[in-house]
Amino acid sequence: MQLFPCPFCGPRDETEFHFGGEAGKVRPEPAGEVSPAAWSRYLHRNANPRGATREIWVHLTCGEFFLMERDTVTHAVAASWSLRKEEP
Amino acid sequence: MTARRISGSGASLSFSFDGRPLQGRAGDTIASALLASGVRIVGRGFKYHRPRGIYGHWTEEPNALVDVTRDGRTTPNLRATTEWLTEGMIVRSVNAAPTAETDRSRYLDRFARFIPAGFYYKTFLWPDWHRFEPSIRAMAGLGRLDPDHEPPADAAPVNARCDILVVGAGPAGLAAALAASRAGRSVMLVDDRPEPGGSLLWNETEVDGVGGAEWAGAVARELRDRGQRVLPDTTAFGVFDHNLVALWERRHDQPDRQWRVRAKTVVVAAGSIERPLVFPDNDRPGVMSAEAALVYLKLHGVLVGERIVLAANNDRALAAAEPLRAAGAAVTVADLREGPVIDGVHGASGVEAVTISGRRMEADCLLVSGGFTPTVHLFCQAKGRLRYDDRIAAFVPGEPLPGMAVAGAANGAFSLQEALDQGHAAGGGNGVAPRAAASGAPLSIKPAWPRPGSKGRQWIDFQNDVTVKDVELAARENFRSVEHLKRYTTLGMATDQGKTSNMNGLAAMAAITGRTIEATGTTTYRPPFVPVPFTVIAGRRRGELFNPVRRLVLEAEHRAAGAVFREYGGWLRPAWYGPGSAFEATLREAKQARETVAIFDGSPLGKIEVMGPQATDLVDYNSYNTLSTLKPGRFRYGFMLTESGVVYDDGVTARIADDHYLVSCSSGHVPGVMARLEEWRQDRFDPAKIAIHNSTAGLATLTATGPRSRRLLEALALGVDLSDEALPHMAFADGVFDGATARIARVSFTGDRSYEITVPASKAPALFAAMVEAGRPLDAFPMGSEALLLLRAEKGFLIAGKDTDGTTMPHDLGVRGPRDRRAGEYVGKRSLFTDDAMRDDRQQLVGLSVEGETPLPTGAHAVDRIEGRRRSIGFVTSSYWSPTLGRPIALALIRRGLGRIGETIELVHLGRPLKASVTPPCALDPEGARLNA
Amino acid sequence: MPDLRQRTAPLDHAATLWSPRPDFASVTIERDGWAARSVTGLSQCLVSGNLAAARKAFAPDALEMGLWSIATSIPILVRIARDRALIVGHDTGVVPSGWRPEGFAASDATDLYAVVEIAGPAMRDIVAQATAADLDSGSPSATVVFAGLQALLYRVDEQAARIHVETSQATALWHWLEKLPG
Repeated sequence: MQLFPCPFCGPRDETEFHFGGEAGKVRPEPAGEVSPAAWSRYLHRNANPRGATREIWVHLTCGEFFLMERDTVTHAVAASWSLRKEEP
Repeated sequence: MTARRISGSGASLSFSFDGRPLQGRAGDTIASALLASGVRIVGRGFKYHRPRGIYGHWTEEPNALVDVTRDGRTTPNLRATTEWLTEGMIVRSVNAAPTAETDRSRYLDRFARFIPAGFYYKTFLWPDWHRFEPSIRAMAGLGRLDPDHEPPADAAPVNARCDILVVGAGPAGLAAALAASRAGRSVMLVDDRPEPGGSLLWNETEVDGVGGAEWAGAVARELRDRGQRVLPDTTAFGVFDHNLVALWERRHDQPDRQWRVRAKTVVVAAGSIERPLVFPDNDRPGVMSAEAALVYLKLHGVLVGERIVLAANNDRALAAAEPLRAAGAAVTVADLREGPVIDGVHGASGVEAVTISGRRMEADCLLVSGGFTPTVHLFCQAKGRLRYDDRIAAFVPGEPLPGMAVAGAANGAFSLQEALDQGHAAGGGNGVAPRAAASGAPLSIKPAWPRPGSKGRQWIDFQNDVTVKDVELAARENFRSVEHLKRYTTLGMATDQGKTSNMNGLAAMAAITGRTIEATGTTTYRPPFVPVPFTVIAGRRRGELFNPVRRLVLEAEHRAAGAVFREYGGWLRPAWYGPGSAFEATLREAKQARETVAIFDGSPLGKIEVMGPQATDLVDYNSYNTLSTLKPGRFRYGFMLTESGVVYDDGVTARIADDHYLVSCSSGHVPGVMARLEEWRQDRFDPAKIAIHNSTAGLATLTATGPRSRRLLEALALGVDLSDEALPHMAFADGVFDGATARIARVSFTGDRSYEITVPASKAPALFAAMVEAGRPLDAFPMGSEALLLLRAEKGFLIAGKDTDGTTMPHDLGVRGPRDRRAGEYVGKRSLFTDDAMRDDRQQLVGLSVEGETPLPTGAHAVDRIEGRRRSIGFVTSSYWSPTLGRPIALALIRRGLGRIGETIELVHLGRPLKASVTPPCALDPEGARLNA
Repeated sequence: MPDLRQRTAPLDHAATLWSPRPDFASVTIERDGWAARSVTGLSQCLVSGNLAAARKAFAPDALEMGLWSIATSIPILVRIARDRALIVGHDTGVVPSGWRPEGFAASDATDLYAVVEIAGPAMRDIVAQATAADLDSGSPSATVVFAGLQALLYRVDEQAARIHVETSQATALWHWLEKLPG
């Protein structure tokens, strides 16, 4: 039962979270200029590294999507960052 | 048999074993009571049905598995060594009939050479597995399941936190807990025995000037006095990520309970487990663990034999000789470090004699010790790595893990002072550790691993009947890694989880394959450490607490109206009302709905408000259909796609104001739609300019549908102009009901004139009552979901996920406009133009009509010849008898469906051929005249 | 019409499995060491965006509540997320939903959340069974998973906890409490 640090709420049990995808994937646009290979890469290809990785997670209870760096082998969590441009 | 009770006191308890009435004492385990009663054969080997006796004293016991009946309820496969005796207990052996002693299947041992490890795999090859399957399955069970025994699920897990969780209240654990407590930390100390002390309870020791057991009691008292938590009868059965430890607390007059403890540091002081020696016929009743003999003597006053041979390869085990002699047994010691070898054990039903290095000795009990295996399980579950320590012939923790310390015998420290020192340090203790009077001798072990190629049948895993020859077989068949050895022979896979067999098994494989023990390694350690009852893990999640459904505010009103409820999309909703079968009631409601006016509770339909200056951008991006052109006061029907272009949900969106939309989606998809809206709100747009509020549960929606629906609305007098000019189809207006805003929307899922009235949920009971009252002269009636599903199917209205599947794109449903004409980006757009999306043979939604009166079976596949072979070209998604049309109707996804309209196609269902003709999806009133009728 | 009577639906247990929804206007639980009641009559308003402006508009005196905070008076602003909160106990009447020019959205939540109060010396033990959240450390957000449900959790007293759950899930919460042994 991992503990993940929501940038707003602080550390919470992993069951309060949901995986949001690999970090750093930018949606290719506009549709008319995107090759099938690029679109397929965006949809289906993941680096899925062994070890340190950066991922988007969402804290379901507060709804915030955020960036987290963690190790896929040891499950150690390095850090998390808010994705908001500025603090309210 | 000569085991007997020699000392101690306690209330007498009656119990029975295999039908035989016996006596035990308060404080006995079933095992100690059986030994005290002189019972020698407690079970039969799993495969060969050889007689088996009690070997060990606690969770490591491989043989004494029993079914226990208490208060009329039977629990199978409990360990006799860890179950406390209670008055009136009925105990039965497993895997034996009629009794363990007189088992009918004991002849199986004569055919042992035909049933080695993995013999059943060979039957898969030849002649035919199915011939052997029934008899193998009948042989393969252990205890008997009592179908009437549903253990109560009453105890929710308890969540707890502490600075230090100490697992094990032996000398190391007590020292750790004491040090941590005195250093001001919050401590939890758990031990699976009822009294603290661990090995201090059966060894003659002194700590800090008092007897070991006394010292243990004093430490526990001090901890409790300082407010620390001390949990006896509690097993730490698993370590999970980030130091979450799961505990199983056994309680006597209440249901057992699970604890989920988040500890900053876990100290594993779980001791060690004695392992057997491997020699011919080492599985005979009367062959026991040396430490077990000591435990039965000290804790239960039971002497396990009169003429005992004690064979061991280490000092710790040999030290049992003296206490056993003092208790009155004649003990012959065989120190295997000096060369003697056990040739074998004599006595088919139990030890009668032992031959060591050619010398035969009469004996009634052979105590063995091949060494001690540190209980490293929790360390390994936390992904700790082990290293092999030659000096003690054991795997011990290697690199330390952050947040976890291992101390005492679990860490390979077998002397008492070492255990106290390590525990004290692990607890972060200041000052001096507790002092043991005698520092304790080192283990001085000389390994006595199994020797492959030696004569006779030598057991490694007693519970799964795995011998040295089986390990040799596995190696011959190239299953040489320990993980393969385990699965091929099932060594270590029984309910004792290899506690007494894993080391001997891997040592045997090491010897066979010429590797070191370190190189051979151990199998992966996984929770639970011991079998844990499901009730403990499930907690209170049973019955309606398991996966609760959402409830309607009007539930009581629906019940009073005679509703029969079913689950739809996570909600409990009326399926139909009144007497009669589902079928009769549904047809009656569907027919009447098109004749008068039906009242339907549509509250679960999603009502998600998207508000703000960028709300339009988000709503447009999220939807396949353009919504920015929608005028305030109007609805538009459309789809939400996944990025793969697949229809995720359909629904109507209302525009309330320029910066305010109400997105409606199917009730089961509300969380999913909320999640995707939130994701894009934060990822693509400025979250400061959009807000998304899920108002579904706070608003109730009651629908009036049917030719008399407008008259019902007029009677309610909600203050809204109900003329078709003022309120056309797909428009809404706000009125008032009982002082609150009532939104009246003309949206139709039945194809008839329909009004959806939405009010705050607290007004729902009054609105429902008003509608029923106003509807009386109109023959209004409440309608359930089943009838609605039928009515919408007559109109060809799809249900996402029922009439669409994981590949259906909007153009498969005939909705091509946005794909052809929308210029801007929206979710899924690019996927609508892939090669696959543009195939001309995609499955498309159509209607099917049949001759005769039997509806097509839902799920029946339409078939055609493709490249000479009969292949599915689609399937029936919805199928009903239509009371309005007087014939069956159906919807289906068929390849090239829209191009086949008018054709007859073949279908097949469970081997039966069927025919249907392809029609447009809408079977009733395709012009839509009934909407305004 | 032919006899197309179907066999009994396989999931008929659904008809008898679910015990009725309680009457939240009146229902209570009394046990050894704790009691539970449904709290009615609280105005609630969900706000998103510029929370300072929202507070100013509806409840300028509201105290902000995070996880396990103690509310000594109402109105309160129960913090849900970085930019979302639930204002409870304000007296500005029913709030029509929509976006405000000050930069926030509001919608009435009086009927959206049911409020349950658990009080008594054993309250903490009950809560320890319902949630794994670290209450002593608290959190800026009062959201938790409570008895398997998404909820807001704070206190009105040392020994009295208040839980807000969506109305449609209040029955599940109530049954969880009712079925506690003791």
